Amino acid sequence: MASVSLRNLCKTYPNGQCAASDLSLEIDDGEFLVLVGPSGCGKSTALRLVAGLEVPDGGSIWIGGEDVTGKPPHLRDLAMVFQSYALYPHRSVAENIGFGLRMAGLSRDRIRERVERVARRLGIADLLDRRPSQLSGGQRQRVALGRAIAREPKAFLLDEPLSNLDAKLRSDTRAEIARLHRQLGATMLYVTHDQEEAMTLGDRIAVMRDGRIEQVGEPLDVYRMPQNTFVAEFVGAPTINLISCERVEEGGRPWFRGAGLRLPTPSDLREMPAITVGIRPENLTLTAAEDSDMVGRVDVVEPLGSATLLHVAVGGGADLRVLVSDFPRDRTGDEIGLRVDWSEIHLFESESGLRISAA
Amino acid sequence: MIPRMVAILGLVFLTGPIYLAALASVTPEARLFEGPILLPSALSLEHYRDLFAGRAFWQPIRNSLIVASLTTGLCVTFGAFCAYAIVRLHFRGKRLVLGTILAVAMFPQISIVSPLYLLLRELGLINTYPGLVLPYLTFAMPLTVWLLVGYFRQLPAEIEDAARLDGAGPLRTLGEVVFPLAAPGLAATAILTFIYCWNEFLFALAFTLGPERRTVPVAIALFRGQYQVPWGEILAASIVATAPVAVMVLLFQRRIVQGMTAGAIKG
Repeated sequence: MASVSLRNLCKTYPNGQCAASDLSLEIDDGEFLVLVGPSGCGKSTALRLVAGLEVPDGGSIWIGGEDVTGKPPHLRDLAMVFQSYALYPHRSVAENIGFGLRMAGLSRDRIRERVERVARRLGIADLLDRRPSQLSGGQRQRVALGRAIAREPKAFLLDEPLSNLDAKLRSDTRAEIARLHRQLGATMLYVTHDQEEAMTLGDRIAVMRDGRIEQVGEPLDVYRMPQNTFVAEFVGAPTINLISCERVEEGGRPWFRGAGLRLPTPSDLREMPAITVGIRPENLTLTAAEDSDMVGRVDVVEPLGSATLLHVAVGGGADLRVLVSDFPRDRTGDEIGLRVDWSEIHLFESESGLRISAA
Repeated sequence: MIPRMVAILGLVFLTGPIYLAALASVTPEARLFEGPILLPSALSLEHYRDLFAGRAFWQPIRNSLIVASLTTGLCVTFGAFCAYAIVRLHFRGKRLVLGTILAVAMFPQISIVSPLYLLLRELGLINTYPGLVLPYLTFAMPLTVWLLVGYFRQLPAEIEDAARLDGAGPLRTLGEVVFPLAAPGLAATAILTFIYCWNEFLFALAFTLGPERRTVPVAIALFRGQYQVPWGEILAASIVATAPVAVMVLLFQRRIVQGMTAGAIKG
């Protein structure tokens, strides 16, 4: 296993799309780092650059302290799991798993021994003679994982490996990948558009947008301290409420006001004409109208099982998401009061969307 | 009902001449011109016997097999590398290269027979196997490249990416993954090329001098009888020449259609 380092990578595709601009990222030896972002943000390109499948326009890639920028993929000693699995359709499961070992010149006996060990570990030992076309989606996924593990590479690259699986299988396989990472102590670089996958799997996550990394950190740190509105909205489910507030003078004091929310202006923000307030759905609680911070009408009730998500229409056409433990559906349309947990709110500059660190 | 009748009419129209030719090839010479023969009466294999015993028809068959096989082998081998490079490598003027390759095949054969003849004579290749294989290559290769480009395009690139990450260099990726996956396309292309070479007439006529290098179509065209045109033997020879190709096409027709339409429909 080895560390992986991306230094100032730039990549622009011939069609003018910039998939990486001055991208830098350090992945420690044995770390599980998740690149997460919406489609087209450049996360897959970043992975393909590390793999050597794309050549950067600028910058360098280091694996285990060695500059591999000019090396072709087959000399980088990495393993990759593809979204489509990319199994060799004309070869059996055993040959698929053993392909990399055969390329590395291992003897037939050692290949068989290692293929069997990997297959047992993934519970596919009885499928070794089958062809990929005879396998279910979940089984193919396991073979793809097995093919990567058998190589014992310096690092694993996983490109949306779960997105072709159904929900149940996805959650099982997610746990499986987490377990494999722990057992192998492997360096893993994992790409996904699913923030939940990112949060649950990553030692650290890197949120990407337009070829740039917006924020890197441990999942809960990113969740608790999003550096801008993009990260705040992308990480966390249900999505955070962002309320645009303007400064007004009322009763001789300055306030930030927006969507029925009134916030005393902190002394260091006196100069700002407007800010964006971020409130996570779980930091809003139901309360009686008289001692509430704002009032609204319940628009939609979505029971999630363990909790219930309310869409509450508040003043100014805004719609807030509120997470409560329980709420009867027949009370849809009721007027309710909402109380804000002021210690958990996030303040952002309204123009740039950057976090205001004082909050 | 009407579609079926149209289909039957079409079938009669297309296979009728072949049926008549096959029938005539087993009808004794004496009865050939008595009137139209629609049903077999007196079967005889005399034309076939004459063909192989009297005219040594094995020789042109052997020549055709050698020339067609050599051309097909070279054509598919080089064409596969060429097509793969066009599909997977990024380089400027890719469309131009592809267009130029196709343009080579656009020349009417008759217009280049004379210059080619002079060229081959200069090289001392008249009446040799290479003297046929080389011109055939220039005409068959563009078709091969075009068909294979269509075929390679539809192979998922991720499988090749996987092989490269698995430690296979470019050549091994080709040998271990790309060509095995493209086997149906390669087979279809090979068959089409083979048929083209097997049937080619003009070059074979111009660049051969004697029976020792003549291919089947030329040999048939140059059949002579002492007093009359030996129609029975010509038809027997035609049947012999058509049979292997027809069998091949029937066996592989699914693949040929797949190979030809590959890349035509996105999917």
